[in-house]
Amino acid sequence: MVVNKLIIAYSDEPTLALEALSAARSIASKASLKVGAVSIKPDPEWVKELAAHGADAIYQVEDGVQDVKSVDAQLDMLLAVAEQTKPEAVFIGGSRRGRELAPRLSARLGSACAADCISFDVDDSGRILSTRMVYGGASNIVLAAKVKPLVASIRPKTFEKPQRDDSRKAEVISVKAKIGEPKVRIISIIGAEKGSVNLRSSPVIVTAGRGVKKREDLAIVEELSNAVGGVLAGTRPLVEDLKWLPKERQVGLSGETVKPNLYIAVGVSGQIHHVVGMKDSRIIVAINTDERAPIFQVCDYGIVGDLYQVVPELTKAFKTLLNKS
Amino acid sequence: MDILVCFKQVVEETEIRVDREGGKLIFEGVPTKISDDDKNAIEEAVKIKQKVGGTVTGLTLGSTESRKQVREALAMGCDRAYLILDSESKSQDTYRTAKILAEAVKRIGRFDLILCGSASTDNLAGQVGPMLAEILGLPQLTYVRKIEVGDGRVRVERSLEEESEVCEAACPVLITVTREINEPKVPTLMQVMAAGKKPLVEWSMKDVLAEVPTTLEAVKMEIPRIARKRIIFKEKPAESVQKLVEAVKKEGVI
Ligand SMILES: Cc1cc2nc3c(=O)[nH]c(=O)nc-3n(C[C@H](O)[C@H](O)[C@H](O)COP(=O)(O)OP(=O)(O)OC[C@H]3O[C@@H](n4cnc5c(N)ncnc54)[C@H](O)[C@@H]3O)c2cc1C
Ligand SMILES: Nc1ncnc2c1ncn2[C@@H]1O[C@H](COP(=O)(O)O)[C@@H](O)[C@H]1O
Repeated sequence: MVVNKLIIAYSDEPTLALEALSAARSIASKASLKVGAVSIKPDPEWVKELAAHGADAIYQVEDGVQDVKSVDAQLDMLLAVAEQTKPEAVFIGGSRRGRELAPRLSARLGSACAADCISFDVDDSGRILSTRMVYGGASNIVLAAKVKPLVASIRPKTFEKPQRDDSRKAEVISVKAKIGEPKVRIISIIGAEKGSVNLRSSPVIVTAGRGVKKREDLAIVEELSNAVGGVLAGTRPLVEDLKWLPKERQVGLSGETVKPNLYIAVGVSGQIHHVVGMKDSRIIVAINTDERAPIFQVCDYGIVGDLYQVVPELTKAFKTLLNKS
Repeated sequence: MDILVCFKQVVEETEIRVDREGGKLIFEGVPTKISDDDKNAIEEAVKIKQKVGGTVTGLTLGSTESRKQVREALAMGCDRAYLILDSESKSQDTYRTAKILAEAVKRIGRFDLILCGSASTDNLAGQVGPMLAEILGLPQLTYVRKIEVGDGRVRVERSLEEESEVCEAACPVLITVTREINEPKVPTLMQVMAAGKKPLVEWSMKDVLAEVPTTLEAVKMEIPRIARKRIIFKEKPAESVQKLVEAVKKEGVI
C-alpha cells in the first residue's frame, strides 16, 4: 500500500535518522503529511525504534543494501523509495555522506534541495519552508521549493530526538530497488578515536582563541576552566589548523553548537563563524586586547586586556570566590 | 590529464556588517574573493597538472564583477577560463547553478577530472558539486583532503565526521575538496602579468542554456537576534577582574 502525502526521513546513522524523523514530525501535522522512514537493512529492532520515534510507515528494500556506507548504494535505494512513494519531501540526516546524498537525489529527481536546514515551517498555501544559515551564519534564509519533492539535509544536533512512544505502530512496506554496482570503491574506513568530552552538556565552557600564542600557554586557559568547573574548548584555528585540541572541542559553524550557562571567550576575535556556535549561551564573557574586536559586540561582560595578565588574575579571583561559598 | 575547476565569486563574509535594528546585512564596500575551498581546488588542479601534465580550465557562473576573480584564477595557474554572465549569480538555487554549469561543461569539452570546493563560503550548501556530477553522470568523491592520480583512476582520502575513508574511482570523476588538501599560494607578479594573456571566454546565459530551471524561491532573510549587555571593563587587570567576577557572581551562573 502506498501512503499518500508523505515526508520521507532517512540517514544511515541511527542518531541522525531519529533527528530527521524529528524534523519531519515538526511539520507533519501542520502540513497534513504522514512520516515515512527508510531502513537500510531488514532489522525488526530498528523498525520498532523508528515506529516508537514517530514513523508512520517504514520502507525497506527487500534484501537490504549490502554496502551500507556507500553513498552510490544509498542513492539507488532512495531513488527507488521516491519512485514508489512520490513524497512531498525527503529529509536526510546532514552527515557529510548525507550532505552528498541529498543533492544527488534531488538532482536525479530534478527537484529542489536545501542544505543543512535548522528549522521548518508550512506557509498558508501549504508549502514547506526550510530555514538554513548563509554568510557564515550572519543571516538565516527561508526557502520554499518550487519543484517537488523538497530534498533537505538536516543540520546535526539541531532537532531533539523525538519523544519515545512504544505504543506507536508503523506499517512496514517493502520496496523493490535495483542497487547498482557502486562507481566509487571504498577501500578502507578509518575511525577516529571517539572523544570523551561533551561540550553540549557542559554548564561552563572556556574557549581559547588565537590570542593564545603557544601550545603550552593553553594551560593558562585550562586553569581558568578548571577553576570555574568548566570544559576547555577552542576556535577553529586552534583545533583544525594547529591541532592543539581535538575536533570535538571546536565551537562554531563547523564545530559544536553550545548553550552553557557561562561561556568565557579568551583571545577570541568573535568572527560570525564562531559566534553562531555560542550565541545562545546564558552569559557570555570575553577577554581580548583589541577593544574593537567583534566579540565585544556579542558579549555580556568583557575585559579589554592581555589574556596573559588577565586570565591568571581571573583564575585566582574565581578560586577565592568559589572556595568561600 | 584535462582538469576543470569550478570556482565562485563570493563576498568576504567576515566583513559583512549586520544592521540588527533594520534586520539586514550591509554589503556596501565589502570586498569579493574566490570562495575559500575553490582556491584549494584551483591549487590542487595546478599541482596535479604539474605532476602528470595536461591542462587546467577554470569555469565560473558570475557577473562582470567576477572578472577580477577570473583573472586571479588564471594567475593561480589555470590555462584558460570561462565566465558565464548571469543576472542571478547569487541565487540560492543550487540545481539551477549546477544545470547551467553542466551545460557549459558539455560545450567546453571532455575532462578527466572536475574539481569543486566542498561548499561555497556564502551559500554553505555543498550542493553544486554533487549535483553537477549527477547531471553529467559522473562518479563523485566529496570532502576530499588528498588526491592521487594514475592509470586513469583517482584514489582519495575523504574527511568524514568521525572517520576518514580511502576510496577509488575511474576517471572521468568529480571531486570536491576541503581546505585541508593544500595551502593555496599567492600568485607572483609574473603570474599576474602572464594571466592577462591567457584565453578568457565570456558567455551570456543564452549561449549556454535556453531554458534555465528554477527550483527554489528565497522567501525572506532573517537576522538572528543577538541582544547582549555589552558591559566592558577597561581598567587595570586586577580591577577589571574584580568587577567581572562580581558581575558573574550576581548573574548566578557559577
Ligand atoms: C566555512 C567556515 C567555517 C568556520 N567554522 C568555524 C568554527 O566552527 N569555529 C571557529 O571558531 N571558527 C570557524 N571559522 C573561522 C572563523 O572565521 C575565524 O577565523 C575564527 O573563529 C577566528 O579564531 P580566533 O578568534 O581564535 O582567531 P583570530 O581571529 O586571529 O583572533 C584572535 C583574537 O585574539 C586577540 N588577542 C591577541 N593577543 C591577545 C592577548 N595577548 N590577549 C587577549 N587577546 C588577544 C586578538 O585581538 C584577536 O581578536 C570558520 C570559517 C569558515 C570560512
Ligand atoms: N556560480 C558558480 N560558478 C562556478 N562554480 C560554482 C558556483 N557556485 C558553486 N560552484 C561550485 O560548487 C561548489 C559548492 O558550492 P555550493 O553548493 O554553493 O556550496 C563551490 O565550491 C564551487 O566549486
